[in-house]
Amino acid sequence: MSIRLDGDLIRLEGDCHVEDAEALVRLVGPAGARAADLSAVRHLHAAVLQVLVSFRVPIAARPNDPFLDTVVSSSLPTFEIAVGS
Amino acid sequence: MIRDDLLEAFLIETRDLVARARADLAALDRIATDGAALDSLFRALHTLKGSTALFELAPLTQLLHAAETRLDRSRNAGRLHPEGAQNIEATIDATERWLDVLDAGGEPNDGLVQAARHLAVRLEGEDAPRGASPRFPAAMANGAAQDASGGATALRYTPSPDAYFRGDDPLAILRAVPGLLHVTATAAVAEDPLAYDPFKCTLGFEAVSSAGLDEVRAALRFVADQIEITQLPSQSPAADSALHLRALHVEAARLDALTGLAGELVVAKAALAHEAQRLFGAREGDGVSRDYAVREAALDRIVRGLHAAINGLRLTPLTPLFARFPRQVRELASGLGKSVDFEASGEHVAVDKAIAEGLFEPLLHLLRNAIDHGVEPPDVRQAAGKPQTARISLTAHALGREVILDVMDDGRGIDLGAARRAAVTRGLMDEAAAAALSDHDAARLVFSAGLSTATEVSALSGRGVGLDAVEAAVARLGGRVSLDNRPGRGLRVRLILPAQIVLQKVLVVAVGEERFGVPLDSVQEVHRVQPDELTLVRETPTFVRRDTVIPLVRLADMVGADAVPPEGAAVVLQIATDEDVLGVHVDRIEARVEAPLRPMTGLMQDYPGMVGTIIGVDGQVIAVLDLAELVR
Repeated sequence: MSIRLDGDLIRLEGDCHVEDAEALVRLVGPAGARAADLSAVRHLHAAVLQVLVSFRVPIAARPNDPFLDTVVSSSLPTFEIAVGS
Repeated sequence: MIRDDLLEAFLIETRDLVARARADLAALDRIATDGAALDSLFRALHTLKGSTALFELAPLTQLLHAAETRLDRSRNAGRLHPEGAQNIEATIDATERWLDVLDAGGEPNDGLVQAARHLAVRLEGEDAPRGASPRFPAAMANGAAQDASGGATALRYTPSPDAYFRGDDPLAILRAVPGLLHVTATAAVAEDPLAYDPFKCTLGFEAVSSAGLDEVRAALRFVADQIEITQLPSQSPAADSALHLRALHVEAARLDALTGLAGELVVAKAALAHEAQRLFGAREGDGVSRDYAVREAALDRIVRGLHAAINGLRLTPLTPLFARFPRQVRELASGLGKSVDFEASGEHVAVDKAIAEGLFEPLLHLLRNAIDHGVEPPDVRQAAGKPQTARISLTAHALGREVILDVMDDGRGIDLGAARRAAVTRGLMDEAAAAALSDHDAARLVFSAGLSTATEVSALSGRGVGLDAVEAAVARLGGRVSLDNRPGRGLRVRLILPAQIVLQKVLVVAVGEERFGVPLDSVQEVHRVQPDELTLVRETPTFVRRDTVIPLVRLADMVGADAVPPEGAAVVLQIATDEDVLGVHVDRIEARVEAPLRPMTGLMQDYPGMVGTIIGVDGQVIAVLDLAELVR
């Protein structure tokens, strides 16, 4: 499973394929409602990125992959969620 | 709590962005086709917009969005038209007003909201420049070109709508491009998940690569029909703004705490040295004291280095301070029906944070004064053969360890006759004395409390709050003020301030239970005066040293301390006052310390005669007095 809901956070992991876009659309909800954690993503298919950009999904954790980070950080609103108390 | 921290960070960041946007706008005012400034301005507004979206400031977000869209058109056209510049400036002004309100803990009122809406409509209504040729590389350089000093390749990649059906992954294709510095993806905005077609590609990419044109082209050869590609000219890096953004924001209070600790370390070290002197003093020249001296010297070096490094951290450019004035000047001038061209320069000069903070009021006061009293109404200026629009400038430059700030106008200058008359009317001196004043001294009369040469009291200034407030504020920051008055041609007020807080030699004196600091350089001599040496001259006790009659005042009286002086010889500090010397009677001298003088902050700022505080050897805060000011 490369896309799953963890509380209100959408976690994307490993390689996200073109068919994951459909699953992601079902999770995003109205614009900005849920944030995505991309820290464990290896590659995003463009169709998945497109969902994130189209619905302006805030990024709670940026990808470790430098290329994806370059794309994501300049295309999507990013913020760091405060961890712990 | 998180929200508060977030708001704090938001305010700091947005103030920086506003300052940057203003600087870019000023650059565009000089050269309307300055592509780098246009890009930087666009980025500043874009980032501002993004930040405001986090705080439910919808009208402001929409306004910034409209401004951003407007600027994007300008970037495509390669220039910012004057009308556009005006609207963008109005947008920045509006943003600043919102920030002021938020900073003060308030909520934006209807007026602000309406103003933002109107402005957004105005921006949207502005016609896109016609016949403009798209300048695609400039639109894409978008901050990345500065990383590529040796030139770069810009590309726009628009995959076909059926790319996913055909089994393409445009992102994987893009990943293969070497030397990518910057990639932005855009896609059709979607609101309704049910209506969204995940298999229709609406993505577009703009990217900059440090690789050459041919290399980039080769990597994208299979999608060549979907690519626009251009070689970017090599560009001098806009290092300043990039560095600025990478700067670390530290909460002011933490920095103050660090400064305080470093200062205390200096004092503690001095106390240790004093103690060692007492212990080893009798053992001059033996091995133990020599070893100790060597180690002490090393410690001394480290402590001074640390102190200097922390002071360096406290240095902040004047940019945010200066950025606040253009709007103020514009509003003040238009309120008074005067036409003023305002120019600020030297905002990159760095000063201690406390000094930067303490300068806003005095500078605003001087600018207000220049607009209100200095600049003549347009018809008067014309009659005098001057351009109707007055020029007011604010400049800063660093000179050694000092910073010089000039507020200059080309107005009427100080009317020396009026200044002399006002001094007589207010009983500061008689006519003969006023007439005897040199022109320079007559001009300086404006620094006397309550003296105003304005014939009418305006809504702005001249209500008895003279320039004395400026001089006092500057003195509290460790600075001084000078005037260059050219009657009929203008006035220059120069503030000379220390750029950094320096270690100050302070004499710690006591009256009764209280202790005060006195800057050592303000004390000419210390005398012991026997009771029988005192004679009363016009009810003031005086004594004589080296043929000089020195009047004596008690520090206890000056500070309102309730103390009975000890019996025997009086300890007297001889200080210079404006025209004479004065003896200040203290109970005893406790110590001579070298400590960083910290300017007064908060409520204490307005306490006359205090120049700052030091931390005593025992950790006690000691007020450092300006005795000459205190006897006035």
